[in-house]
Amino acid sequence: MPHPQKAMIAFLLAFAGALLMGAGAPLYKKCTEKVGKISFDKFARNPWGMISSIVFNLPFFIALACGGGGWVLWVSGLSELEATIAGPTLAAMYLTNLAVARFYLGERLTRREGMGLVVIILGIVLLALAGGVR
Amino acid sequence: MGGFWERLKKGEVRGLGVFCALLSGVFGGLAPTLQKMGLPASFAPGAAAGWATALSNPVFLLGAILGIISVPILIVAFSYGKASVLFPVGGGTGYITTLFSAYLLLGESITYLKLVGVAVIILGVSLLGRTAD
Repeated sequence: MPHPQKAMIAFLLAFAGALLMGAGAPLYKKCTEKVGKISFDKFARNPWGMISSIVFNLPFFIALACGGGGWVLWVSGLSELEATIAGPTLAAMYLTNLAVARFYLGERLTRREGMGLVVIILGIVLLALAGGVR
Repeated sequence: MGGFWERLKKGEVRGLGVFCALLSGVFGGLAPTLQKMGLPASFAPGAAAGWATALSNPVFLLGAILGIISVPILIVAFSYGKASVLFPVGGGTGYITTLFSAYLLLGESITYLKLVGVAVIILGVSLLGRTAD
């Protein structure tokens, strides 16, 4: 087990990476709004048109940057943490995923979802303790 | 066999959603273990050389690719069943796969605290999944 301070920094890097990756995910949904519901038939009729209207959007590039940057942070944390700690830390993605979906896409957060988030945070805290973070 | 492929193409195979969720979980769960395996021992996040070594390691790359493709597989699973069931099935399978693959491949310990932490996260994911239908 790494030194507690080193473990804390590594855990925070992995946690921040997961939060960043989660923030990018709802932005992909924003990119599909121009296209509407994606079906195989629709894609087969005009594949390039569908791909370009999804990809050539600012939110798509922001989402890619969040995903890439988040992954770099998470791997940086993984290098000092056990995989059994860093892996489940990815559940933190749900926190920013729901927050961005709430404030950017206007999706409503239900009481059950709120409870789910609190329970996930509790699980991540337990893993942090198991990983030697004090 | 031909009949099976026809039914698979039409998405009429029973249990396809659960199968895809399990597959997504296994791929997503192996990703952290394989990436950890592929990282050089002297890896320093701030040094480009460490990243170059990691990115040229096939085990590390396999882990990253499995992590990426686990997402569309889970999305396919959602189109064949209830998200409230498939979300925790995929997530739970992933965390359990990480625990056991890291134990077997990296020699990491499985402690009670880790097991409780993973169980609590699966509970939280299942609460989110119920409203995702």
